[in-house]
Amino acid sequence: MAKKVTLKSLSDYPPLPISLGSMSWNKTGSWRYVDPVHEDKLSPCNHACPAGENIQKYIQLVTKKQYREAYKIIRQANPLPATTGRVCYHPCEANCNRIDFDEAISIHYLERFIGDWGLKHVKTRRAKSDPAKGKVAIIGAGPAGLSAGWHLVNLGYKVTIFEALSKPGGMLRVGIPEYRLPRRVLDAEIKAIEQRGVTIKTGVRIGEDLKFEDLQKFRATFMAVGAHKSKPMRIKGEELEDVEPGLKFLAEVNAGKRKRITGRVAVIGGGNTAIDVARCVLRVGGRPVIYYRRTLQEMPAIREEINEAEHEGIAINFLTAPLEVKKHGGKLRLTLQKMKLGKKDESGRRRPVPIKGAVENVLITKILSAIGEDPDLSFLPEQVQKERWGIDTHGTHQTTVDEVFTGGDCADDRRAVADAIGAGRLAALAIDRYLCSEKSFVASNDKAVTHYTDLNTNYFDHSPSVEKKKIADSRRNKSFTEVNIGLSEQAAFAEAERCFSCGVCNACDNCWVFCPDIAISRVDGKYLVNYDYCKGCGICVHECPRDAIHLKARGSHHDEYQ
Amino acid sequence: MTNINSNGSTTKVITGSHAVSYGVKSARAEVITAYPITPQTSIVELLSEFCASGALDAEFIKVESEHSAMASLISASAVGARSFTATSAHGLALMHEMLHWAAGDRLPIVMANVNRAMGSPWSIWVDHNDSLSQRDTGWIQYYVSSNQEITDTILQAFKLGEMVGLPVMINLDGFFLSHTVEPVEILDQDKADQFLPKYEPQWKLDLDDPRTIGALCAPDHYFELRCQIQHAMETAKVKAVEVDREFGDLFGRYYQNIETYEIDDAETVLIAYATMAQTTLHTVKQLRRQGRKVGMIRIRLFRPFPTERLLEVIKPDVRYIVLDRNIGFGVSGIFCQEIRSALYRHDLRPKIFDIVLGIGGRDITPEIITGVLDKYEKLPTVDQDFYWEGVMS
Repeated sequence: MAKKVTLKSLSDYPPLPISLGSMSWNKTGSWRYVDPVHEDKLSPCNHACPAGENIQKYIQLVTKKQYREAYKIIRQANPLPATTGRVCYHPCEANCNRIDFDEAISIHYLERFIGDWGLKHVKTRRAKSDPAKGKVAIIGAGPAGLSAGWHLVNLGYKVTIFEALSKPGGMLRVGIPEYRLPRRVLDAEIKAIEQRGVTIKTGVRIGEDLKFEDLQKFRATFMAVGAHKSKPMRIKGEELEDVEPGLKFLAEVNAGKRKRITGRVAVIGGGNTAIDVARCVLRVGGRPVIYYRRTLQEMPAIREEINEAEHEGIAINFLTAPLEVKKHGGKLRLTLQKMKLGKKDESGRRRPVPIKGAVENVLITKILSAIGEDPDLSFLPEQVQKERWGIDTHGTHQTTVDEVFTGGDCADDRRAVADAIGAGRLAALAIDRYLCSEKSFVASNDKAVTHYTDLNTNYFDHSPSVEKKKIADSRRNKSFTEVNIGLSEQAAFAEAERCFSCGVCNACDNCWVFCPDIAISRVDGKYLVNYDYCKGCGICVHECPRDAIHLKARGSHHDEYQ
Repeated sequence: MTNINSNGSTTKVITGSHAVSYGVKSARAEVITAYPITPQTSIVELLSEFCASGALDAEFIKVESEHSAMASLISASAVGARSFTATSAHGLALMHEMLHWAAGDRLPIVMANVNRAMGSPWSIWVDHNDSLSQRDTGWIQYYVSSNQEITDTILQAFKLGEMVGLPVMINLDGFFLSHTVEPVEILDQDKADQFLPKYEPQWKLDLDDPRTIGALCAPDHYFELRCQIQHAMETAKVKAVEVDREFGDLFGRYYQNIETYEIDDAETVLIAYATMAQTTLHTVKQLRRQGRKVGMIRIRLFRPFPTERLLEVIKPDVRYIVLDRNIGFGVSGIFCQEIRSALYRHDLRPKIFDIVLGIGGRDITPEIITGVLDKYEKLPTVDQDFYWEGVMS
């Protein structure tokens, strides 16, 4: 308590009703029954990213023009940002809270901007290797293998990747066309991974050039052989000369081996391979037509890619399945069965069922099938348990043989680049955990996700997403020039500024400004609540635009009353 | 329209609202809160432009209500910032609670109130019941008559308020002043700075020495604090004269708490305030030319009420006609109540006729004032508390 003052006459009084001494003795925090706690939650973009990127963080760094730091943050999860910035199906954007406000942040464009900036400005240094950690082998230099290699060298391991093909990249190289992913970008990112310390040996096919048993000299093996075996259509005439797997066609086009084709080409399937094949056919002179047995709604291909294909004039025939193919003069006669949607199957999609008698014939020059791929795991010894579709590790990335780990398309039914990159990272962590402590590892994140309704959107202005520029239509059907044009620095900055930074404090000062008891102070870009004077009114929580402060029961928060 | 005067100052032809804004700019207000209400809005609009352009270095806070406009200023003033807002009628009524707080905390906030009649029914035109309803909140109140006087009184108000530690309300007639253009000499900034230096309060809130202000006060102290407000009001009556004199010496324009015109030999004197005082002055001048012995008293300072000065100028054998553009329901016009009350101390009390007129923005023309004079000059006795003028019978 302060010293008691006695006022004896009117002249003793201050002119206004003010305390004559300091009132800091009056710890009004004792009135509080809830504690505001600055505590970050999980942004929905980060939650959705299969590669495990800290998207919220690198976007905030872009708003400060700290591109080097942003590049570093992305590569802590994903060594291929310039690649994923172009080819990822970006579930981050589908989950972006900004969708409920106006439009999602164009996260993949920002990722691409940072990836390209890094390739131009950052020289990748060799990771420090730890002799105690030893050597790890990786089979397959696709996104999963490259990612695992990157993370393992960062953890101190010596890593050798064995790649069957003549160049590293896996499906990124053979499956994704140049107009989506220029090879100079892929080459540069793989080179950076090598600079980091990963050794890649190409032209070494497991089971042929290298025996599985030979890998025992490594402390552990990460198998990431992908899924390169096209599924057969199982129709009459499939063996005919001009009926080919779409993936083989793509690989040839992507390797620059394919000459021009002419006439109408049927592409069978509704996934990304089908779209890629069709758009490549267009670019080498053919007239592609896609036949898919379900509807647009069930198509597994990335929606933007479907839109681009349609924009380029490619016809997609839905509810149509191939029945039979026959030679017809110099051409092929493809018999098609019209379908309708029936009951839901195990994938949750409605199963296509034939409509009796609804059959039609088309004359075409070529059929390219793209109805899915399986992994080729014939090289594996019996001890490694496998399913019909691949290897199931139940999230551990470890096979039934302790030292053998796996991930990517051969061990995941979600076959996308980002998922493979994420699997490579988690497998690297699992390998490290196993080799250090013989324990298995399953990634988990128990942080709560910030939803749109958790935000105080009064603090945000509506602004449309950045304009996505593309090359002229006239250049598309003749060349493999990249279709999507990246963002300028100015556009990237403006787009990053739209980010809500959901669940993560970005030092906006609102809590500090609004605290009516001046009980919040700023220390090193963070905020400290002085619980001596915080009355727990919750204004800071309400005024936080981004759900980064929460009210907790008094005393439940660990560092109260230090 | 802008004109550069021979003494180097600038004269602009501006509305009364903008005359307020220019006055506030000259006073270098540091915090301005704004909530729009007709006919006040153009005051804060121009101030927002001054703040946006950098012409005035002030925090401009858009608030969610007039109550908040005043609450914010109370905080700003308590930490030592020169603070201003403007309002009108219902906005002022919504502030009522905060007006008491501002005075109780002895904060020299300045506010322009553009007088407007109170609802119900809705009106946007002038009378003075809005500000007169706030008579006992502890605010100093001026009622001004011209656009030039507005600018000048804003500067005086800051000075007086900061001297005595009381908030000041400057009342100007809606539309008749707020939306009417007149030539106004814009105050020279150097002279304004000389007249009104930076506000340096002796007592203020300070994070490094945390005090409490306006906390619970038991019966053993509350009475004394109220007594101090009254003392400050009494001081203000004297200081207002000094402030006006100092202002006049610098800028060449003098006002007084009470202005008089031709009262020395007048047999009948009209007592008016606000814009109708201008019309009354015009009327009295005309009537004097006709040889009628009439005079005028204008009351500019209403709180504190300049009783002593009034006693000096009032004579027992003169007939007084008070023009009240307001009505104290159940009694009479409010200015007249004040005048009668003040004159009770006079040994020989004169005859005072109270005329209530011009309510809700109804015109008060020279013809109407002459008519009032004709009517009440000859009435033998004051047989009513007040008389309506211009109301349908």
